[in-house]
Amino acid sequence: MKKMFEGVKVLDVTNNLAGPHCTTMLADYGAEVIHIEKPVIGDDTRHLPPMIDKISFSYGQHNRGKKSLVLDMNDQRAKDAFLRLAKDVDIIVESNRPGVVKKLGIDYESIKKINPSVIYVSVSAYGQTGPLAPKRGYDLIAQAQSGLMARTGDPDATPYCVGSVVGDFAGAICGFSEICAAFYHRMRTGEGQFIDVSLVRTFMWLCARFDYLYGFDMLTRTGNHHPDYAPYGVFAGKNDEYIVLAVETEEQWCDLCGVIGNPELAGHPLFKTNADRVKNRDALGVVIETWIQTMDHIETVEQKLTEANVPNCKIYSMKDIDEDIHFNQNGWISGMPAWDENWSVTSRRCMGSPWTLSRIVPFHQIPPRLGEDNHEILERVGFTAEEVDAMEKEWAEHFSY
Amino acid sequence: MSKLYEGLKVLDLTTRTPGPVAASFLADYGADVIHIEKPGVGDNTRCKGPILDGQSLTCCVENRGKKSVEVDVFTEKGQEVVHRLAKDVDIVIESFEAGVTREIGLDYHTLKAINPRIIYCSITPFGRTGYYANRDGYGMLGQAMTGLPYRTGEPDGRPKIACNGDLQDVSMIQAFAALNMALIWREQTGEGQSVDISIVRGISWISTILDYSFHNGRQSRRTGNNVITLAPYGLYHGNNGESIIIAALNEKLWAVLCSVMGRDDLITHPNFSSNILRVKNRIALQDIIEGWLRSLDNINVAVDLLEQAGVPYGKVMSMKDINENQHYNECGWIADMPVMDGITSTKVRRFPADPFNFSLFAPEYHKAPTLGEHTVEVLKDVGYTTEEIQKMQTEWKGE
Repeated sequence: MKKMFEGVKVLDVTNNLAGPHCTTMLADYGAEVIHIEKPVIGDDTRHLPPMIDKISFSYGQHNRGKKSLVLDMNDQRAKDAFLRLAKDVDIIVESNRPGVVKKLGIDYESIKKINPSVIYVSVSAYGQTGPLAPKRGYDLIAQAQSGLMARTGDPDATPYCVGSVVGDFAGAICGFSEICAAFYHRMRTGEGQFIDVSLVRTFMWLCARFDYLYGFDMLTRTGNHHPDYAPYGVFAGKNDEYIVLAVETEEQWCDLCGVIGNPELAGHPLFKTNADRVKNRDALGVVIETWIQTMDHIETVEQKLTEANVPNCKIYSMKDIDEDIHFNQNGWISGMPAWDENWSVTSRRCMGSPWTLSRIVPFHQIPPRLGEDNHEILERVGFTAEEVDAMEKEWAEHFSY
Repeated sequence: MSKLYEGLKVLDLTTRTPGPVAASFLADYGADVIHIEKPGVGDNTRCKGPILDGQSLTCCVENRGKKSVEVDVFTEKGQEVVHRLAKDVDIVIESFEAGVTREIGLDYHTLKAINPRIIYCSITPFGRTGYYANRDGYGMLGQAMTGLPYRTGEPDGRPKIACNGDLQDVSMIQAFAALNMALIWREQTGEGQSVDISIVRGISWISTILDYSFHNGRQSRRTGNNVITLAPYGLYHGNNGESIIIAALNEKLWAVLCSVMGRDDLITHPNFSSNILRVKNRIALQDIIEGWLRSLDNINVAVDLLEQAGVPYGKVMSMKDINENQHYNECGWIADMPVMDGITSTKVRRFPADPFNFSLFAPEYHKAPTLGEHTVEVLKDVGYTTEEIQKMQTEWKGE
């Protein structure tokens, strides 16, 4: 089967999560991705749990299908190697702190001189320019600065961060989309270009709205319940299980009262209209949760509500997602291949790609061991086996955990 | 500056947010986008709040730069119109409820027979196939199943809906990526294809980690406003309901933070002298940091002190803070777009600019069309006469 990025060469000078995840998607679609890693330590995620047989799953998720090349970028020979490789690649992705690649002489302006059609991507917390550019990015700080936290949590109570590293994934997908757009342009014109990806910006784009400028209330957090409809929000069952009910019409409200076994409730003065229900939301919550908690399992609640045509969704745990029939039927979850035949796990379950295309399918392949491809890649650009051995040995002595 | 999608023709059949955003990205970079809307009523975003001077600000953003054509796709004549348009377009984007496109002859297979190079993109809560293909999952409802609320909130408290149930727009970035992939493929092979985007899948993709079986079955759960393995790293409250993230993630930064707080005694304090101890005594640590924050007039004083000292921090920024932020403005992350005709209270709507930053292309934001603004122009292009157009419009609008 043909692969979209077959023959495309990528130099990957990224570390941690966002940058590596962006380039691993290029590998899924057939690109040769050379991941440049620090001697001895490698990419930071090589030390991130969960570890199986002393190998990190996280590293595998973000670096599947790549080749690993160890370079000490402070050594002139490493820079030479990089420049020789850069001459002949289609895409370069880096995620150093802004300014670092320039100091190393491997920034876009330098590379463009030897490879004018290169697509060069910088991934960072705040982008390459502006007063915040030099700052280090941390996930929680990005959540605070994107407006996500201002909009998460109960009204009049503390804001909340979300428990997933969402900013890195959103940045990775944004970078990937821009690479595809730039690649499409290059196919037609031969022109390369520079792409500046900021993780904070991507999430700010998702969360920020400024309509307070036009006389509307400033958007803030509205918690677990819809501000304009009731019952519309999160309700608790037994055993730490929860469900979202989304009643928007009177018909759905009557259906809900019916399934609760209390049709008179529909005409109750406290709950008769949507406005009444919004006003008496707390009392309504007690009624609904009392009913929900007569059942041991939230699945029973789900089933009854669905049969009665009341829109609902259980709050899914990771396990629920893993085992869900729809998610699995549709290929949303993939088994990434194991490291090698001796590994104690045969595959690792992961969210695969976030789309389904009828002609283009991803191929998830094994991640590399640190420096696995040193000889092949360096000898390709003119180093002798002895030179490679010598560099490996020297650098290993300089670096330690 | 060249335009990325100059000459690209897009037929936008989407009817509810966030679907229309995918085509507006393409319009921003030069594509010619024809938005098919319900005669007399328009796409659902036209009545979506906030409403200013009787017009939707949501529609201003989500339908920017498009042409509006009123066609009743539930009639044979309307379907014929779409078929004629489909002959000559590169991309079709739709967000109908399950099964509808097949009923009305606007599904991928029908349009592919008319135009084999067509790229056909569906944007729905659960995707076009599978067990939940018919299910509603917009907003909070779909977010429930993404794993995000499960991991948000206090460990012993309720899960929390994130971002008021929004975040659906992340699937628009994914749609943008997938459409570009399909364009690359078509450039390589001449083949069109179908693209299936699910909003729930999109959010789940950024928020789900399935490694619980390798943590002795322990699932990644909510941990409140702290990262459980590091301290101080989390949210700390000051006066006036303001709060700030502080991340002193190594011993050096911890010492600096202690000095900023005027508490050098804590650096070597037996309860706080290492990360392990600080994690163990997290609550006492939180009291100390919050005591310090409350001794300040407001959170901006803490911001200045932490900035000068070099301790990583992030104020929980309100929409106003974001709007006025120097970096965001200098870098062009926020833009003004012209509003639709009919809005008189303001000429522009401020919004977060497209999250893309190409050296070769800059997005251009043009105003959203009024309903049916381009009906005559577009239908004439595909061979309808003025009389035919008028007759159809009258029928469809029941005039």
